[in-house]
Amino acid sequence: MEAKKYTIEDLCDLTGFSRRTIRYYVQSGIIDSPAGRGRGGFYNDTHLDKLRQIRAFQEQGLTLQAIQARLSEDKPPETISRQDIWVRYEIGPGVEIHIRRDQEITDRRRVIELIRAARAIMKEEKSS
Amino acid sequence: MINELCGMFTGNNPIPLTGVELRADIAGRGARVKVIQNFLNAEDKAIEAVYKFPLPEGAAICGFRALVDDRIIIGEIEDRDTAFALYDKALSKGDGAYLLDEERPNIFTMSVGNLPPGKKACIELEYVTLMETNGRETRFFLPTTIAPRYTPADMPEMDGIPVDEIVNPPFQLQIPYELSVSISVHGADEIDSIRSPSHPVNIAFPKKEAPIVDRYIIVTFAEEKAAMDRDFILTVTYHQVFSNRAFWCRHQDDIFIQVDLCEIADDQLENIKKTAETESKEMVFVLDCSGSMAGSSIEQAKKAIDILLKALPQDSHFNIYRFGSRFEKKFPKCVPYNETNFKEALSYVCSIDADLGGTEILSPLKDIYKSLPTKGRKRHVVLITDGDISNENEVVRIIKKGADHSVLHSVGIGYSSNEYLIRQAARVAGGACEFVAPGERIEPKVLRLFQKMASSSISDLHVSNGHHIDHAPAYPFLLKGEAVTLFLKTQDGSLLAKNLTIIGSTGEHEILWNLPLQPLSGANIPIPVLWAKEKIRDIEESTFAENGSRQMNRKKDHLSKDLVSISKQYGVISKNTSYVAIEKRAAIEGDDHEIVLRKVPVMLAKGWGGITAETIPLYSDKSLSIVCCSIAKPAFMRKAQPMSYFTSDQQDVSDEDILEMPVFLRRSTSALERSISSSDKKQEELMHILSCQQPQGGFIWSRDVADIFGLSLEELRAMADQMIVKADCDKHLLFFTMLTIELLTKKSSQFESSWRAIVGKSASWLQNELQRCQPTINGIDLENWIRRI
Repeated sequence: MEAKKYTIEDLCDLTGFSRRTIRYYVQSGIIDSPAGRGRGGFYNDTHLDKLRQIRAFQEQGLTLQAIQARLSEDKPPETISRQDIWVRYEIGPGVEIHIRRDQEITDRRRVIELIRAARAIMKEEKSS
Repeated sequence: MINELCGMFTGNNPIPLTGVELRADIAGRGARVKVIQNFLNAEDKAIEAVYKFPLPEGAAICGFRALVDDRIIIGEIEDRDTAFALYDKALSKGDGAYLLDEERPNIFTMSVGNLPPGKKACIELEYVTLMETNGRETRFFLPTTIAPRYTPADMPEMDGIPVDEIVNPPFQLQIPYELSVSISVHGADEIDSIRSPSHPVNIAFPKKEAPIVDRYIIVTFAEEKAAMDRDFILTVTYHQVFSNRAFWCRHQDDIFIQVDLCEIADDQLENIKKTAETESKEMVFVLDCSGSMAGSSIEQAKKAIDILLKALPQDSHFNIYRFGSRFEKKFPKCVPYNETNFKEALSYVCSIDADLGGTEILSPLKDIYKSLPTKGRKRHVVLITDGDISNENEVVRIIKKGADHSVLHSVGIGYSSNEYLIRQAARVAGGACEFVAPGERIEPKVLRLFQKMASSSISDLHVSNGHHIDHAPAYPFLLKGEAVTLFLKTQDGSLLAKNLTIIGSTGEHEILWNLPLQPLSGANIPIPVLWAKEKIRDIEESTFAENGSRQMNRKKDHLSKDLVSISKQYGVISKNTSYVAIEKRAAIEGDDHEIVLRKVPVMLAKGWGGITAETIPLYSDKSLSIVCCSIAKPAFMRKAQPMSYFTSDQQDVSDEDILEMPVFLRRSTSALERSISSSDKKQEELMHILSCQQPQGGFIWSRDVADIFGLSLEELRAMADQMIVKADCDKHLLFFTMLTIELLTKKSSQFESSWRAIVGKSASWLQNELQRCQPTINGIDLENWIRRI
């Protein structure tokens, strides 16, 4: 199966990190540089997973320094089935969408569109 | 200490910044400044240069452009995220891009993206600012480096990025790029003196035949360029104090008004004094003893507390806190100001060192503010620090919360103190602030601060005869000797037909100003830009409130939108907006190289943490730091124009218009320099005399003080012993106090503003003692006897 490709905008939508933060993580070596053409290259699932891990650690209250230490530790390969993992997307204050990991992988493009649309709706609500 | 800091010093990466230039026009209280940063990529691959640098916190940055080859790319303001996206996309496409972000009101990040090998880029920033004014003196200030900021361990990251990374650039002990300055000080005939306590400077005077309408003085560094390891300070003293005035201009559909309040009428001054005199004080000194204060800073800070302790009014209560990674306090709670407590406090201050590690400033403040001041007393907190922290907003929030019952005054110490924290802390708590750079005398500044503490502030300043006026700042206040500027935005055209009435309050008395409103003509005074800057500051401060209720969060969202909107409309950068400039480039086939990040290191601030300690003692003959000159008064005297801006480019100045004068270094033998040195010496002697004050207010002389007046200490003591008194008392104390007050009045009237507040305590003590003891010498009462001799 062809590896999924993400733009930096996709990563922002999927992880909730700002473009600036993702760029900072790349420049600091916390996540790898995008594949292909320099700065304009594409990201893949490895980048996405790493960012999600960082986000999860941050939610546990870990600092970036501590997270880097955790990420650099040698860990056993993931044994949990993808069907057991649910990915949580924050749409706005008090609103979340949960999508099962396997579903998210197979239907990535539509998931991104869904999240973008949901966030847009929440923003409209807020401003009106 | 050195070991702890090693991680902060960078390696040997090529530094793409080759130099920084400052060009400024100063006129009265206003300055228009251009900062030019020159970048060069000396590597064989494309780079992204990121440079964190400081600017004055009051700078309204209103211009940003990049000069690349023969192209000029003008920057636009966008909201912060959009600006970054534009910058990032441009880099991804192979274009050049230039981005300016505000990290703190006085810390900025310049990103110069995709600079090809061998290419130069010149970035120009322009800002306008109102300078700090005290009496006849204005102070131009440019920070050149960011001192390492301490970040508390529990400080939350910002959007997943550690705060340390946001505010701290890499540091090096030496850097190859330097600063050059060229400042035109306009209104040459109104200027009494110009001095730079921070740098040796050259001063070029206008030729006598230069047209009177624009005679200006040009200030440059004596050695062309200077290391960027300390703030650059230039003080301009005018012949006369600035006058109150109000003027207006139109911008789009709005009328903008600037009101300068610099003077208070004598009859109104009495009201201020009366209010202040009835106030009993609780003084709390808070001294920064963190590692960054090591060296000359802690010594300056101790000197400041020593002076203030001696000057405290007799009925005060007081306490001393010191802090670093932890804090301690001298007394468990505020104690009465008496001889025992005073002596204990003095010896405590003497023993203090900068040995408490980090800069956990919140803990002592929380401890102070958790309790209310003693009933019937007004609490004054005096914070003495270099302010090298990154959690300024937390600190300011606590101070603001306690502003109802506690005034906070701040003293910024060191070569590169955090101007934003020092000013903002005092601003939100109705207090005064002073900055003491190592080349400056601390005593007059601390005494000036004391005078401001001793008089009431005039707050709630607003225009009373207009409708729908948008005031900025929202809560201005005026302290004796300072100047305050109000900016107003309105559509009420009826205001222009009459005088403007400004009202303020001391709490007990109303203070009124009635000012004619003048239309602005000729000079380009950007009142709308300055109004926007103040407005942005007000809004930013409101958004620092703690997150809480949904209503509060909604309000913050709303304020953030206002911030972006004002920032874009008036072209003034804010924390939520950035300047971005894109340089479109023709696509080159196969040019998809990686861009290498190069963080520009800054020079470690001189004297920081005692690491680069001074080798030259302050005020010694070898000091390079004080250079000053005085300009002969013209035949006629005009009042200095409080503010005026000039758009003329410095490069337009013709050499023929100026007359080069020799550099006046402190060691020079010019008559002028000698007269300045003599004035400095007199001030030093005055401070020495004042340091002999005892806690109850009386003076006891040492031999040095007697020598200052050319008197014999033994003879004076013998005279005091001859005194006949009707009640038991310390004859020497009584005698020397009478003598000191008499001599100060007669011999030191020029420095009265420096000693009046301190000697006020002595005078009232003396009056009581004279009545109680009725001292006489040879049958003549002491007062008359001393006057006769």
